[in-house]
Amino acid sequence: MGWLRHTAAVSAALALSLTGCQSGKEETPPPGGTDGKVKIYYMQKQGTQDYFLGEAKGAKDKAAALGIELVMVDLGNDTSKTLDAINTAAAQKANGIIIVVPDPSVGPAVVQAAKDKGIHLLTTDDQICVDKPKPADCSPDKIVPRIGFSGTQMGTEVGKKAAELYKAAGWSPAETAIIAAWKQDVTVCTDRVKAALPAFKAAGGPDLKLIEVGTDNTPPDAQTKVAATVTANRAVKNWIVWGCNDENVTGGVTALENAGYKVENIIGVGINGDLACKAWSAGKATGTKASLWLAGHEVGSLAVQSMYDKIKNNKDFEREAYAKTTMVTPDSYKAAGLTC
Amino acid sequence: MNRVQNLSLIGALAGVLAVFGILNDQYLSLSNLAVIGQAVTIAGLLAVVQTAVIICGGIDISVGSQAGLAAVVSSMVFAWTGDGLANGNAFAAIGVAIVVGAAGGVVNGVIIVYGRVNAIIATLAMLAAYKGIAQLISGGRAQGYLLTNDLFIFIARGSVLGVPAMIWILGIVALLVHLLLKTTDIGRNMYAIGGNAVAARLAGININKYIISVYMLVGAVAALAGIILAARSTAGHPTAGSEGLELKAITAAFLGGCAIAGGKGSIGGTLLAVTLLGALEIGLTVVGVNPFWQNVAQGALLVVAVVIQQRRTGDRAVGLPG
Repeated sequence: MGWLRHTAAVSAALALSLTGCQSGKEETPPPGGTDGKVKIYYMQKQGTQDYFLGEAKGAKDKAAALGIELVMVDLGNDTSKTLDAINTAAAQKANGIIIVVPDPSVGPAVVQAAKDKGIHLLTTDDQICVDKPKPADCSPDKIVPRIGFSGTQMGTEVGKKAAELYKAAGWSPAETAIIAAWKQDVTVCTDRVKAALPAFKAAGGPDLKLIEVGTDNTPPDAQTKVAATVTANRAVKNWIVWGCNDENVTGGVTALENAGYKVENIIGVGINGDLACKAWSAGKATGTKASLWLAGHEVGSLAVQSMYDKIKNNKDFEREAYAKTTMVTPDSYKAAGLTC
Repeated sequence: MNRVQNLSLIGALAGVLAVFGILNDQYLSLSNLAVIGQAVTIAGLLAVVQTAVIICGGIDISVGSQAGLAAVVSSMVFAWTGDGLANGNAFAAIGVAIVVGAAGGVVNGVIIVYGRVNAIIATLAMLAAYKGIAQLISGGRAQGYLLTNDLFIFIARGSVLGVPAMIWILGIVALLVHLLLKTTDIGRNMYAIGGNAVAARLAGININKYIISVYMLVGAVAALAGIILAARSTAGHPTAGSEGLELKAITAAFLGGCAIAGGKGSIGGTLLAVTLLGALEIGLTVVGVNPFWQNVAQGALLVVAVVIQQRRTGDRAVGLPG
């Protein structure tokens, strides 16, 4: 029976080599428009975060309005799962993938996988590059079309608002310091935070002591780290707090309040508005005086519309489309439409 | 052995306090010592009950998720009994969260005892499951706003005799568990179960009852930690602040002298270990060390501390450690 097994094995190998074997370098023709049912996969990192939940809702509402099938995938922080999810989307005959990558370094692999499978690719929030792991090193024509917010623009708005509130408070520069709190290995956070100081100065803010505090981007950790920072800087009478998001600012402001600083001596300017909104809704006086509201649902909605236009009508993506941001305060957040 | 262990931890703690005290003149101030205490409270509570379960020969990897679940449950009950966001009944919120936590602990114990599942595997699975439940019921979002209530404000910011309230909570829980372990038959039986389960069973100890009860205790205290976490954070979030707590708690328990095989460990050692880790974390922040270096420093300290402890046991350095 041995000869039979050998013959079968050789035949199987030959059949594979003639039909299914590939080097992995084959070119797939670019995807075109479709007349059939549109199916889009929307893959998000940290899909359980408030902002991304809003983005998902915007995408789902738009998909329902357009009558197309939308599949949401939470990638968590798993870059490997990203590629598995793209393979799954291809197997499910998706026409387009919208993605927020867990880390930009997986970008070239994502682009290649989508190209191999002949699926349209659009990113939201974070940039990815066709051939480089760092979008910052990428030539502009190699950046995958993206819809989202600009980290630098966000930081600029925060710096501007902080300067406005600082001038209104009439504090002495010698008695004031800035705390910038963020997870320092998250590039999108660093972009935001680094843009805030130049904008603060450009808007008329003086040279102030800046203390950079590393956190894990959660309120409890920001609270602990800022509490320790305050210990080392007892001479400071007034504090400005900004950071990557509301989590950092809420944690920092809470630490300052716990250390005995009055809300009048704190200017916290957050990003995202989700936690600031809670404190304001509860009617509590808080050191968080403003927050830049990012309407995630607008990004999700715009992304689905753009992908639909591409699939149905072959309309090109914009290279970089920005969604609207709104600076909100305790007096303006309701009128702006922020709910919590 | 415990005494030697504790002395080496006290030495390390004194060293850390001295170094940072020299580098920053405010580091040893009362306000900063309170900051250190507050920073270690949540992980400390989990480490105390982790010690109890490790003494029985078990382990509970799900504590971080249980704390996250309790943070969400307490905040949601507070919101429901109030105006949908705040101003609810704090006692109901705390009570329901602790009952849910205790029930979660019983589930862990039952899976281990009656499902015949290794404690590491069972609680690893429940780490994922409890996190998922917390995310499901909260929709993944931060829930409620607790700082409209005097009790939650007291837990987050209050103090008694100059000592923050949350440190009192840790102190009371630690003292009760210490007394349970050292002065009662229940505690002696727990050490006996971890030391030699067969002998304990032959001596007539109802091992199943003990194991399920100790997991229930872990669940209830993890819920308490979650409530404090929610009060500190102003709202209950399913993962923010609770992810990774299990690692801190287990690290502190082993650094404090628990034996992986069970039957050994003390609350004093665990508290010293958790304080050492907190003093180091805050010290590095106070002197402005880059957070990337902070991770290196914490890892290095742990390795050095464990190596010193292991070498003291006099094991021959041949092959894999026992």
